[in-house]
Amino acid sequence: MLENLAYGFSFVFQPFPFLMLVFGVVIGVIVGALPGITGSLGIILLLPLVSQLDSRVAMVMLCGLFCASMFGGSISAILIRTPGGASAAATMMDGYPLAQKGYAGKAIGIAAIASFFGGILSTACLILIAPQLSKVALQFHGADFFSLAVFGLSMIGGSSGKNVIKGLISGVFGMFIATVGIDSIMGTTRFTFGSVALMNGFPLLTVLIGVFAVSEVFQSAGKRFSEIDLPKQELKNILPSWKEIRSILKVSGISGLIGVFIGIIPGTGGAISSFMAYNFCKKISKNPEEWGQGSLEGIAAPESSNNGTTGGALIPMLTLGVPGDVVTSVMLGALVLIGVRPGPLIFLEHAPLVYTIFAGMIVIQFVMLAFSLGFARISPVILKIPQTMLMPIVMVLCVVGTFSLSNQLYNVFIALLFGLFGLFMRRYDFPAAPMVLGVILGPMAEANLNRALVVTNNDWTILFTRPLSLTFLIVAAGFIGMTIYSNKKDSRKEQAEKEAQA
Amino acid sequence: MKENKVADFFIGIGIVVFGIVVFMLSSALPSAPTGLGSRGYPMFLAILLIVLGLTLALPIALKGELKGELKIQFSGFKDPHAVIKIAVCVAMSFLYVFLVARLGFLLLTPIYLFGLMMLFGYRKYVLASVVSILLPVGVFFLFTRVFYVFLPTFRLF
Repeated sequence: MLENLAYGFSFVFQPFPFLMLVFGVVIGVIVGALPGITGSLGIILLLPLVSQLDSRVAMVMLCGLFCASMFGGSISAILIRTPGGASAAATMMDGYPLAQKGYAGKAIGIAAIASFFGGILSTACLILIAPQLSKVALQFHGADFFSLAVFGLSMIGGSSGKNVIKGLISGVFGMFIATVGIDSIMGTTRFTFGSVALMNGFPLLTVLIGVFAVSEVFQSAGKRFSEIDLPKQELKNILPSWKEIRSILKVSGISGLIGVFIGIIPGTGGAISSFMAYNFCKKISKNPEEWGQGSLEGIAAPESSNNGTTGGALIPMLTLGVPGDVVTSVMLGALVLIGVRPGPLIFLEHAPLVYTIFAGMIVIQFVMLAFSLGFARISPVILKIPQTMLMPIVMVLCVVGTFSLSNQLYNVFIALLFGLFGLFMRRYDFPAAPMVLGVILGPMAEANLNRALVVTNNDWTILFTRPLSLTFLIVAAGFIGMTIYSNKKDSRKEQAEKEAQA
Repeated sequence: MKENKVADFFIGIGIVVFGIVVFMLSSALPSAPTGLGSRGYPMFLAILLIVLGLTLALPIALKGELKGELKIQFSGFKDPHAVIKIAVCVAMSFLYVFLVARLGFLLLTPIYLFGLMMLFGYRKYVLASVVSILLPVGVFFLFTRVFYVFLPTFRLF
């Protein structure tokens, strides 16, 4: 492994890959800081560039963007009380009060250092866990893979919205979308209605661009944007003292591990992990009364945790082909675009790429730390970019990006249609993430279920007789059951509170 | 809240209908002696959609949350102009993609970009004009000269 890692470092430190790594980090911080522009949208906007690059350079750049966008979200959360993304929402609770006390610079500095700790921890877990998980996954039977897909979908369907049923509908609909075109089992055309263009199905990235990016622009058209009120204070004392760094070490370590664990579970991501880490660390803190008032630990916990999810989310994405969150879904699409199919064989088929990602992830943390601390002083400049100008630019880049994937305007039409569909989903609270995961996992589920049935001569009980498959199915069913129960309990509680108030 | 329940009911029914259509279309696909064949998997998904659609719609109907509200309202946006602005944005985007094949990226994109900025409420006209011209020109040359992706150009026929 060390030899492979050494190869990874030697590649990453070549001038062009390193330049693209830094570019990814810079873009990541910028898109992360801009409210409304997420890491996944940032990756979508870079897709035309990704398709032109060597796979290792492209992935190092995207990983840089992924990690840095997590930190970037803290800038707007601290300065203007508007998180750049959901992952930074918990950072706002202590970051903004500290900024109000005149220590905005210190808050950003602590966020950068905690992000670094979280990132390093998650990279270490990625390097240690991913190869082992990949070896285990090589022993998976078709039935296990099918149940894994069901498990992934139920996790993301259950955790990404208020209504579990809507999440599941979204996921199953995504799986249906993936059936359009020539089927991989018998070569029959399905649901194409005679259209030659539909024979290849709906390209994953086109669906992603439509559902995540185009629908965001459409939705933004209906919003009224107000001028952002930036703090008048000068950002100074960004580099915390050694004593302050020591005070956040324990919290950063625990939160980073929470982030890694949450990141590994499909369908979760930085938003959930940062709140979990915040609440957990507040409970074990020696000074819980300071939390919410501008506590340094209160900034470190969510920031370390959300960066902890980055490496965690990459583990199932690389080794099983099951993305951990929305950003890794887009990254998986980008990998497919450059001809790499993630899964258990990735260490055998694309070892140089995987170890370049590992080495790149380590280097990214250092580059991100240096850039974040150096850039913090001028970071308010990013927030001055008006959304009213930004969103139209994003739209044009989406159109160009979609066109560049296949040189066909037909795909741009498809992206617009999915944008319209995504808008409908947002309007009626159907989460988009399960649908995208459905599109990704659908073919995997079908191929593996078919394989399992062919091997067992149509014996469906194979899904329940193989221990691993049964475990995935039980956990999936248990999770859905628990989520439905807790949602009902919450709604009953809300109802009772309303009645009490009335 | 009531409005969402009514909408959810109709969406649930729509999903059931969609599931039935998928099931019928799938049943016309070939099967295989072992394994799923072409039809097995979409039929399985269709059944799931029907079950999930019913799970969404039935509780709303059974709890009597539809009484006197049997119409879907689309007025959920606080700003009454929001729906119109979204509709204009969608229409402009479709029209842009439809026309760009004939008029070309360089000619049409500045108009589209400027129009979108105005629609979104950006009112610094000079800066909007400059960005609307420079960005498409930059993107065009980047894609055609560096990435070798040939964006649509103006053509008469």
